[in-house]
Amino acid sequence: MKSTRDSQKNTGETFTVGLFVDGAREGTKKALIKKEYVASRGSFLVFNDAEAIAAIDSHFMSEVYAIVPDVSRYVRDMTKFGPVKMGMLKLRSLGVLELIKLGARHVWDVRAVLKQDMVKVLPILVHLDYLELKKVHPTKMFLHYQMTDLALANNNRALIACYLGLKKRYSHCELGLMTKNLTLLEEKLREWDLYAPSVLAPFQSTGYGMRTSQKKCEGLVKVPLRQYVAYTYATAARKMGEVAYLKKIGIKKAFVCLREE
Amino acid sequence: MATLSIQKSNTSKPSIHVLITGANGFIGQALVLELLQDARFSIRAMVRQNKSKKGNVSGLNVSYVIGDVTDLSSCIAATKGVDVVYHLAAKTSEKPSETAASYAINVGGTKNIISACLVNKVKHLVVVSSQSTKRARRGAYGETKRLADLEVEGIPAAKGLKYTIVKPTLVYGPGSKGLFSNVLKLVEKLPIIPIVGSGNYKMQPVHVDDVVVALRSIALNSATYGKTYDLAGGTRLTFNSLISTIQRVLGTSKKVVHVPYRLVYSGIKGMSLVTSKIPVTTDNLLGLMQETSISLTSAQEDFGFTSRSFFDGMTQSVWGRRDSSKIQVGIIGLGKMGLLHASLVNHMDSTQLCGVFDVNTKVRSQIRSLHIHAPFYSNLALFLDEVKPDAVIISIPPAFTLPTIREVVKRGIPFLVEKPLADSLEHASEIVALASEKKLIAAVGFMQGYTSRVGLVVRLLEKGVLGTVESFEGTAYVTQVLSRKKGWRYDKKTAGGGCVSLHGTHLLYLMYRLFGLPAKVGSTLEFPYSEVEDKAAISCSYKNGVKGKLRVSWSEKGFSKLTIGLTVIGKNGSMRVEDDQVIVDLKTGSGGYSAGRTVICREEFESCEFELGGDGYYQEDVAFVNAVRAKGGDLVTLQDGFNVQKLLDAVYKSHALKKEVKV
Repeated sequence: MKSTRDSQKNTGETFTVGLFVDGAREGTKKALIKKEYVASRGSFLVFNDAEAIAAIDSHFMSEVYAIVPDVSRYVRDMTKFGPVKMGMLKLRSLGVLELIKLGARHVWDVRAVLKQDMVKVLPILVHLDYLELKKVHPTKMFLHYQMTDLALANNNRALIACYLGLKKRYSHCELGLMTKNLTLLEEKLREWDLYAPSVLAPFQSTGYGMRTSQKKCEGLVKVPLRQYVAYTYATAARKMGEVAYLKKIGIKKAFVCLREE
Repeated sequence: MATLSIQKSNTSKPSIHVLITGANGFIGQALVLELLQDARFSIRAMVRQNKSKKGNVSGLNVSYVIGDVTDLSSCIAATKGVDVVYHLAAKTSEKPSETAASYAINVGGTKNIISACLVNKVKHLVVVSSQSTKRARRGAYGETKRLADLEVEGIPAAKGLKYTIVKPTLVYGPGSKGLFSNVLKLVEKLPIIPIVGSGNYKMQPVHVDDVVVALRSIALNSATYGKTYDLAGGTRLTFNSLISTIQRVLGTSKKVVHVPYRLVYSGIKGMSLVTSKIPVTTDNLLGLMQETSISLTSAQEDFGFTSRSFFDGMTQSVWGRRDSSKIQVGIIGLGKMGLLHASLVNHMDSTQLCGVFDVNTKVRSQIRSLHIHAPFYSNLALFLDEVKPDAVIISIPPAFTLPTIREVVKRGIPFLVEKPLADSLEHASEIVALASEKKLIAAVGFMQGYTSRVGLVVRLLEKGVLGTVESFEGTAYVTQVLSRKKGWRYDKKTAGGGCVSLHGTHLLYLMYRLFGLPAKVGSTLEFPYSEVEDKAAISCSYKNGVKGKLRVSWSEKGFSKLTIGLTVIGKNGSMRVEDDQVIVDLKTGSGGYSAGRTVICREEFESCEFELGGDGYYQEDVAFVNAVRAKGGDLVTLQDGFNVQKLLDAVYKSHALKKEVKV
């Protein structure tokens, strides 16, 4: 177990920077991915976004890290269609085999799902996202920060344990956590006795979003218990400076979301 | 079983050495914890067989004695050097085959303890008996406890051993032990709750903490020597009321069904032949059905006994103790925003989530799965009266804000209300008047007001970096409504408005914060999909000549999340305020900014300690709670909320009148 974990830490890997496909307006993502494909060495961090997935899928080789479930989209769809219609549309989009598999796996959870028990709903949402993401073979799937941070706020070990426990179901894809509260997550993982092989968190030269402090977050990277994947926002002009900072603090894998200037 | 082994020594130097039999039982565990808080006591706990039987008392600063009350030699060994013995060990099994064991433990065990106390010259024996000894019809437990009491009462005064007997009613409290936890489990799990007989028989359950406080006060208290005391809770209620109170605390509203007593009694008797693991025994049943006369006068006089109300005790048992050092915050409305605030309150060190309210009882299981543990209410008055929050956060549709705030203000509770303040200017005005009359701390949830980004922009404008401001243009866009929609958000009566009321108010607040109220407002609204506006074009003019244009839409394609932007144009250049950056273009350098373009990214703004739901929410809740504690602070006030409501009202009026209106 130790050797597996060691290999997943920040040590012994080369530094790579991919593209975080976030914030780009609909209809512009395909062009963005095409433009940045070489610069990002085909490495992308995405939500379950049909446009981005289709654009990545059109390329021969890509490495995809995904953020699941796309909470904002579910909330938006729920507002758009209502919970019942959204559920029906989702189910209709599945193949017969997947529908049977899903039904067989969650038949006993129907009551809990209808009552919106998040521990029962989460695996279904993750799987629905995965069914769309699997076209691009994600190598890592991070639990959306809204879910992770909600669990942190409420000291909800069960929700995080439930997500990390899904690793058996996605053996070819590593499950990690995304957070905007990195040091608190580390504390809680220790307290809850849970292991996440990788964590996706904001790292920024100005310290923005590095909670509870820049120093503490940098300290975690120096003595890594797991792989810390960084994401950062930068204009094209600032990108190189941010990349240099991430490299300096010992980050091995980072994603930059390019912001229009 | 004659062996005695003390496995952990107490290193302190206390003056009263006590032995507790049955220390791993429901009352025993609570008693150990209570006595541990008092440095006068050195505790020895008598447990049977092995470490695994220690229950929650394991690992505490307690000496453990392995022994059995049916074995005299182990009792003698355990009472050596002891001043006070708390005798709690008892057998409650229902199996007929174990009646003999009940006699051996409850009667024989008590005899052994008395003998051991006499041998070791123990000063005081405190026996926990039961109200069931006073009943006409007694089961094995009641009868054996009665016989045990007789043994205690028969201790000759000349022998020097003083005794006190306490007879608690039904004891309840936190944890998974005892009859009460079984009743709770049944109420939680069963779809329908069975009630034996009419349910009109009365009872007075007592919280375990009140019992153990009494037991601590009794030790070596000469006023209690040779006496028997009743211990009961602060509320006498019928079984029907008891179940309804439990349901209220758990937040359930299940149906109850009355089952004939004979049927239940026979059923339990039958089950007891097969298994000992039955949630309710016939002794429990006999106890429930036969009321006893209870007098607390002597307990109150001799050792100042007090007990909490059943509701308070139940709330504490299920949801944990209220921490008086923390601000108790209640949440009204458990939609997306309510859940966010509840989670933030849960996270903050200075607050405790004391209760939640929503008319929709279906959200109860959702909030539980999110670990938002607090009493759930669907009746607002009951919520405010029973939970008594120090402050509330209100996140409900605007149409219900005024009646809700009336109830909150009536009780003098500080509040934070999500924006917009109300569904109409008239209602907003009433809210402001209500709160100011009572001089309450009150705030409106324009979270932008707490972000450092807005603070920065205000500072730049105050410094006059742009020179004289001439005009501004703002947008608030999101892709949300592209077809006809149902729900309260799209109902004019409930929501008070559409995209301007829901999203545009952020922009209106920003404009108000930066420039104050305009003199006139004009607007054109579009309704392609909803009864409420889907798109709006707003124009504003100020007395000083500043002109502004705003566009708001929730039907704009390409905006997966709400995107707000505001461009301010001055004589010396312009400033573009976005969610994640501020872009300053200056003709000549000013206020520390050089001529040309300066992009101040979000990353350069200070960061908050915790983030959930986006920038501003955590800071907003922290500011509100600090203001409640300090009885004042820098908040987005109701007056600010009212002024934004004035703008909102002017927008709708202008559209209706098809001309500019005065604000």
